[in-house]
Amino acid sequence: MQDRNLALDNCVKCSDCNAACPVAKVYADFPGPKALGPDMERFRREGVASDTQWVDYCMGCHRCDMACPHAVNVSELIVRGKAQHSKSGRRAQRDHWLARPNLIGKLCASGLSNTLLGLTPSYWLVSSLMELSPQRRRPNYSSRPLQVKEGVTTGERKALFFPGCFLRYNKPQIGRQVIELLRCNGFAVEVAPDVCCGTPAGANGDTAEMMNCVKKNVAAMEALADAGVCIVTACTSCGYALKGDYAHLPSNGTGLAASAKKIAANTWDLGELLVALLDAGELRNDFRPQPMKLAYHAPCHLKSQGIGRPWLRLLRMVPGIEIEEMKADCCGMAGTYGLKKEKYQISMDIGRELFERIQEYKPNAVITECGTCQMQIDHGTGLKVLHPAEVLYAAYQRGV
Amino acid sequence: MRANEFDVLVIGEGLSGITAAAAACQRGAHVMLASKGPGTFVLGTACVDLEGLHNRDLFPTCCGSSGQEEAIRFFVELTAAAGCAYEGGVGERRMVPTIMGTFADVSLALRSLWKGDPRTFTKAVVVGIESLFAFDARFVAARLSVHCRELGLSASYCSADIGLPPSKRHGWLTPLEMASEIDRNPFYRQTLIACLKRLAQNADLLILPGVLGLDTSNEEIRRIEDEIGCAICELPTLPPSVPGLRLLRRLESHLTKMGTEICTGFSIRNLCIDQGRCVGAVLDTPGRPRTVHADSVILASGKFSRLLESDTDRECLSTHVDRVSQQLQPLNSLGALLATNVYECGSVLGKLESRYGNAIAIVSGYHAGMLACEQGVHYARP
Repeated sequence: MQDRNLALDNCVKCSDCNAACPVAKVYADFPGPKALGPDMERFRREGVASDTQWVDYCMGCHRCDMACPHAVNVSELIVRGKAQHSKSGRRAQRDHWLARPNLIGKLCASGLSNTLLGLTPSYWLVSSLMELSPQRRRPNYSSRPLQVKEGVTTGERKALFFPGCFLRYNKPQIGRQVIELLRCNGFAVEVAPDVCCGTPAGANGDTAEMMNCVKKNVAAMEALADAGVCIVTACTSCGYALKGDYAHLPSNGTGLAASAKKIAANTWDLGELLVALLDAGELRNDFRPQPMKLAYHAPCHLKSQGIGRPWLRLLRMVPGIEIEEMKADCCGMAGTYGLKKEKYQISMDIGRELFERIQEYKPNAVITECGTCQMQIDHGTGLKVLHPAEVLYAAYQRGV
Repeated sequence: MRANEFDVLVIGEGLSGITAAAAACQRGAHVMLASKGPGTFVLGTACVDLEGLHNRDLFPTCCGSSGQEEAIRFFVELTAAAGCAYEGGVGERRMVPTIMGTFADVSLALRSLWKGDPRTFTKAVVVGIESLFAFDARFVAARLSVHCRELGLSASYCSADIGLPPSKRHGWLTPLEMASEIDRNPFYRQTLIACLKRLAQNADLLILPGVLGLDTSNEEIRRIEDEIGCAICELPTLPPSVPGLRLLRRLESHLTKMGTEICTGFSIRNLCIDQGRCVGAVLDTPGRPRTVHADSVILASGKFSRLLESDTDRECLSTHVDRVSQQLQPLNSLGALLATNVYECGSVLGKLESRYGNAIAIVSGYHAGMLACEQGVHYARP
C-alpha cells in the first residue's frame, strides 16, 4: 500500500475529480476538489497561509476519490484542510454541535424538543441562532431511542449492529426492524454502544472529536471483531466510515490504526450481508407480494463502498415490487451539509436532477439507505421515502 | 446470478475496455467492467486515425484487415446507439479543425467534429465566448484561414465573440464549468442559442469550443442546429475536454442499460492465477477487498497502471507479461501462455505508436471482447 501522505504526488491535474464533483457542477465559484485537495495541500504542508472557507463547501461524498485514475486521496486531503480551517462566531458554535449528533440525540430524546421545534417562534430562533436553514424541517427525535439492551441472544451466528445516530435517535423503529431481519435470518444481535462513527465530526472539521469516536468504537468493538463477529451497519455513511476511514488511520504508535483496520475488515453493510446469505442459499425468502413501484437512489457512501447495489437485488426478489435506480447523481444533502443556512441552496441545486427523475418516474415510494438522503428526497419531492429494510421487513410472510 | 460471478470481467474503463465490454455484452455475456478511474476521456480529442492499421505487424492476426473493419463498424454502431455517434470509417479521410487552428487528418470523429472539414462548407464563424478560459476564437480563425489558403481551399473563416450572463463572481469559466451551466440553467442555454442564431445568419458552419453540455445527445445537438438554422462543429478544448467526458458518460449509461455492471473507483490489486487460469481479480474496496470471479478476464488497464501490485502467495500476472499471442493472450518470456482465459487490449499491449492509440484501443478491444466469449456464456444478466 502506498503511503497516503505521498499520494498527492500522483496528481497529474487531469480534472477528472472536478468533473465528478457535485458541488462544482452547480456552483462555479467553488474551486473544486483538485484545487482544495492536492493543490492546496502542498501549501498547507509547507505552512504557507492558505486557509480558505471553500474547504467547508466540500460535501465529503468521495466522488473525487473514486474518479481519480491515479488513486490520490483527494477528499482526505480536503478533510485535512477543514481541520486547519479557522471558524468563529455562530458557525463555529453550530459546527461544534453538528459534529456531535449523538449528543444532540441524547438531549432531544426527551420528546420535548419536537414540541418546542414544532412551534414557529422557537424554530425560527434556533434557525437564526445556529445559522441553520429555515426552509428545512429538522428531523424528529424519538422519545424512545434504540437501546443497547434491545439486542437478541438466540441465533447461531453473531452480529454486532452499529445503528449510528440517525437510526438510534431519529428512526429507532427502523433500527428495531433491522435487528428483526437479522434475527429471522439466524443471527444473535448485539447493539453497539452509543458512539458516533465520526463522519459528522470529520465533515465539520473537528478531527479531535473524530479521533475520539474512533478510539471509543475501537475499544468497544475490537474484541468482537477479533472473534469474527460481523459488524453490521444499515446507514451507508456509518458503513463507509467504519470500512474506509477506519482502515486509513495514520499509525501513531499506539496500535490504534491496526485495531481500527480489524473493525474495517469485519464491517458489513446490511444489504451486502443479506446478499452474501442469498448467494450461500441461506436467506429466508418467504415473501408476501408487495405490489409497489419504487424509485431507488444509491447514496454516495454506498457507491464508495464498492459493493454494487445489494438492495436492488434483494427487493426484486419480493413478488410485485418494481424497482428502478434513478439515473442521477448525489441528492445534495450530505449529512449535516444541507442543514446549514449558507449551503441550503447548493444542496437543493445538486438534488434537483434527482428530484426531477423521481417525479418523472412516479413511484409509490422512494427507497434509499441513507438517513439524510431520505430527509432530502422527502423535502425535495414530498414523496414517501423508506429505508429498504422497512420494505423487506414488511414483505416477510410469517412475520419476522 | 451471484453478486461476484460473471462471464467476462473487463479491467479498465478506457476506450478499449468499454469497447471490449460492449462486444462481450452484445454476445450475451454477463459483464463486469472494473476500473480505478475513467480512461483518458478527460483529454479526449474525439477523433481516431485508422491509417496506421494498414501496418499489419502492429497487430495479432485476429485483428487483420477484415477484422479491423468489423471492429470499426461495431464501434460506430455502438456510439450511435449511445447517442454520441462517430462518423467515418476505414478508408475515409477528413480534415478536422483543432483549437490550435490546425487540421488533423482523421478517419473517424465525433459527428459534430466531423462536420468541420473545410471542403464541406464555404463560410465558417469561429465563436469565442467572453468568459471562457483558454479559447481564442480570433487566433483559431486566423490560423485556419492561413492553413486553408496553403492547401488551396476556398473555405473562409471569421471570428466573433459573444457574451453570456456571468455565472461566477470572478475569474474565467473552464469548459467544464460552462458545460455544467448550460446543462442546468435554461436561461443561460437560451441566451447562448440566441447569440448563435444571430451569428448563424451569414455562415454555413459555426465552430464552437466544446461546451454544449456534459450529457447532450446527438439528437439534442441536432435540435440546437435546427433552432439556429446552421450546422455546429464543436472543438475539444484543453482538458477537461467536454466532448470526451460526454462520450464517457453516454457510453457508461449505454453499457449499464445493456446489463453491464460497472464498478469504478477501486484499484485492481491483482489477478489470481491458478493452474493456468485466472480464477479471480481482487478489487481494493474499503475495509475488505472484493474478489470477482469470471470465466474470462480482459486486461485493458492502460499503459500507466500496467503493473499491478503483487500478491505474496499467488503468482501475479501482469509483471510477467512479455508479449501477446495471436489471440491477444499474454505470454511470458518463454512464449508460454500465462493464463488460458486472459486477454489484453488497448495500450496495455505496449510497443504501439500513440498516434494510433484510439484505433488500436477500438480494434483490439472489440476482438478481446469477442474472444472472451468464445467458450460460450453461462450467467444470466439481471
